[in-house]
Amino acid sequence: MSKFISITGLFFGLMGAFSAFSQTNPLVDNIVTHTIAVQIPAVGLVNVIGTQDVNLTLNNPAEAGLGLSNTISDSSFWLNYSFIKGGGTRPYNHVYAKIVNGVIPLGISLSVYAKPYQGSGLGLFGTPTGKVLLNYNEARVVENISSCFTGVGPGNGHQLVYQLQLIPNAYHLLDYEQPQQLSVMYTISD
Amino acid sequence: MTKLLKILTYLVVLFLCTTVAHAQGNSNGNGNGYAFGLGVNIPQISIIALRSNSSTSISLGLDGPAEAGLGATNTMDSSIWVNYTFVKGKNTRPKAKVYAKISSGSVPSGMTLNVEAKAPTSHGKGNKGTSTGEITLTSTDQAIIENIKSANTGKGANKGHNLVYGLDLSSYNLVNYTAPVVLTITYTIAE
Repeated sequence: MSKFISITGLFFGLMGAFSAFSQTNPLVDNIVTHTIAVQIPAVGLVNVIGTQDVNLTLNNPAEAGLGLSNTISDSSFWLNYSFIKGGGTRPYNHVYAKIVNGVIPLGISLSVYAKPYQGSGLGLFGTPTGKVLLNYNEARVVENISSCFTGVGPGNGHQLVYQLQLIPNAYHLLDYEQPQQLSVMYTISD
Repeated sequence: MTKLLKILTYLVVLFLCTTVAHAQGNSNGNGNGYAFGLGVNIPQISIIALRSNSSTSISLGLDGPAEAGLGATNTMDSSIWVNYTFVKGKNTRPKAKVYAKISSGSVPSGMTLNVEAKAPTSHGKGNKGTSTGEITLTSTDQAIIENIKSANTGKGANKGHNLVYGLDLSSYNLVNYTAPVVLTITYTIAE
C-alpha cells in the first residue's frame, strides 16, 4: 500500500508539473526595429545646355555709309545647376563665367546675362547679377544660390543671353579677318 | 497487487490522454466537457517581424554625383515587408494595430520621412489589418496598420504588408549636406 501511495504521489506530482506547463505564457515579441541611413552629400554641379554652338555675327549694313549693327544677341543656352549647401560651411554658392579659350576680336565686346529662374526644379535659386562683360577673369552671373536643383535641359534654370557689342570709338579696330572661336567656362562655387 | 497494477495502468493511460490533448492544443472550445479535465489553451500571441530579400537596413537621400539640374534621386524604398501573428482576446484585446516611430536619430532639416503600409497580400490566415495610409514618422507611435484580429500574414519578404518609405524634400532650400544620419524605426504590434 505504501508503494501505491508513493506512485500516486508521483502521478500527482507529474500532473502538477504538466498543469503548470499547460498555463501557456503569452508569446510576445511585439517590437521590431530597422535602420534607415539618410545621406545628403555635398553637391555643386553646373551645366550649360543648348541645341548648338552660338554664332554671333554683326549685321552687315544695309547700304553704303551705314555701320555694322551695334548689338547682336543670342539666347539659345540655358544654365542648369544643382547645389546642396552646408549649414555653417557654405550657405550659398554663385555661378561664374570666364573665357578660357580664344580672343574676342578687337573693337567689340562680348557680354552675357542670365534671366530669372524658370523651370521644374525645387529649392532656393540664385539671382541674376545682370549683364557682365566676358573676359579672362571670372565674372559672377548668378549669385546667392541655396540648396536647389533647376531641372535639366532647355527651359529649366536661367536662360543665358549673349551679346556682341561694338566698343565706342573703336570702330577703326574692326578686322574681318578675325573670326574667333571662344570657349566660355561656367563654375559654381562660393 | 493485481489491483494495484490495474490502478496504476489506469492512471498512466489517463496521464497520456491528457498529454495528447494538450499537445494537440487546437481550438475546439474551452475544454471543460471531459470527465478528466481536458485543458485547451490558445496562447496570447503578438509577434511582429520585418523582412526583406536583402537587408532591412536601407538608405535614402541623394545618390551623387548627379547631373547638373537634378535633385535627389533616391527618395523611395519599398523593399521591406511587415509580417505578424496576432491572437485576439475577445474581451481584453479584440484588435491590434501596428505602430511606427523613430526611436533614435533625427530626420535632417528640410525633409520629412513618410511611410505607408500597403494592403496585406493573400498569404497567411485570419483577419489581417488594414492600412491607415501614409504617415509622417515622428518620435511618437502612430498607427500604420489597424483592425488586426486573429491573423497571421505568412512569413517572409513579399508577404504581409509592404512598407513604402518616401523621403519628402519639399523644403529643399533648407537641406544641408551632412554625414549620413542613421535613424532607427521601431514597429510595435499592440492593442
